[in-house]
Amino acid sequence: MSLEELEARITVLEDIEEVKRLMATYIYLIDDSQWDDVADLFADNARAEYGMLGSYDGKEAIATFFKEVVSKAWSWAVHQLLNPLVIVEGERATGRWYIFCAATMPSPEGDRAMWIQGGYDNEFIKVDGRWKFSMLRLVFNFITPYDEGWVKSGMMGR
Amino acid sequence: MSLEELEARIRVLEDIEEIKKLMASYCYRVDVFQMDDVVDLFAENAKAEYGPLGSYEGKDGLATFFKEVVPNTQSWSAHQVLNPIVTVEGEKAKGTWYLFCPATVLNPEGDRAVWIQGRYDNEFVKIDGRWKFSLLRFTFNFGTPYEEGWVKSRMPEE
Repeated sequence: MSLEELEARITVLEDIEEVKRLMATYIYLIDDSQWDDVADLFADNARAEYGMLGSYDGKEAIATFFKEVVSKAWSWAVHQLLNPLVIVEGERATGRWYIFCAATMPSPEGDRAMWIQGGYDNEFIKVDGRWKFSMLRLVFNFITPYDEGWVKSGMMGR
Repeated sequence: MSLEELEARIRVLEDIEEIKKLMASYCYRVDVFQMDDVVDLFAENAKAEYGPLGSYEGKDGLATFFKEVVPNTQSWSAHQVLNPIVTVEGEKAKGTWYLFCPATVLNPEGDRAVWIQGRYDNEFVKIDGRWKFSLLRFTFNFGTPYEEGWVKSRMPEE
């Protein structure tokens, strides 16, 4: 095996780790409400699809989404990622995760503790040697009040 | 790229994996109360900070915490760690994780099922080729009775 072949294999392993790190960084920044830093993780022409929360094209629209929609959707959250499945092909990659999230949502009757579960089906691109989101797609499985569960109330009472 | 440079890149990937294994070993050992083996995962002069459960220094301090404080606090737990971000620099490293842990907490009125969530911001050092904790810092987000949730009762003291 040549040095070039070895380097190519090492680069794939490094890229998988970098993509996982990018996804975890996204989570910690969101949970710390650092919205400007979150938007910097996206490529300029990236797309984000958040199911019932809407779809957003371009880094600016995504930044606005985080500052105006996400910041009001919950007052506190911890996003917990599981089951990473990252596939790298050159300067592009795909990554799937499950998310299991504890969140506090404001409501007219007062704050509510919520369990949220869903799946991310994301795409990534390497720009100037750094991985960025080119597509973030989140599909919700349930958003249920802590004391009810997904059978009684799977989507916020809907 | 030289063989030496490739080896250095592989070493970083191996170190990241070793540190993830160290963190997982910590969790599995704590959950089966193999506390001597837990203490062995720490460097001689390591420090552990557990928020309201106190801070402990050195192997003797850590042994006190794991053999006296923990068994008197909980009878069962499953430490689930998520969202790893591990950064290696030579013989030192940092690692962040979320913890999502169901635990049975001892209580005079009867044992209580409790959900614990928090964040580890740890530091590691490589000693004689083996990674050890040099600092374990845990910050609680909630420790809430199963029947209540973090909005009603974020921490047992509140």
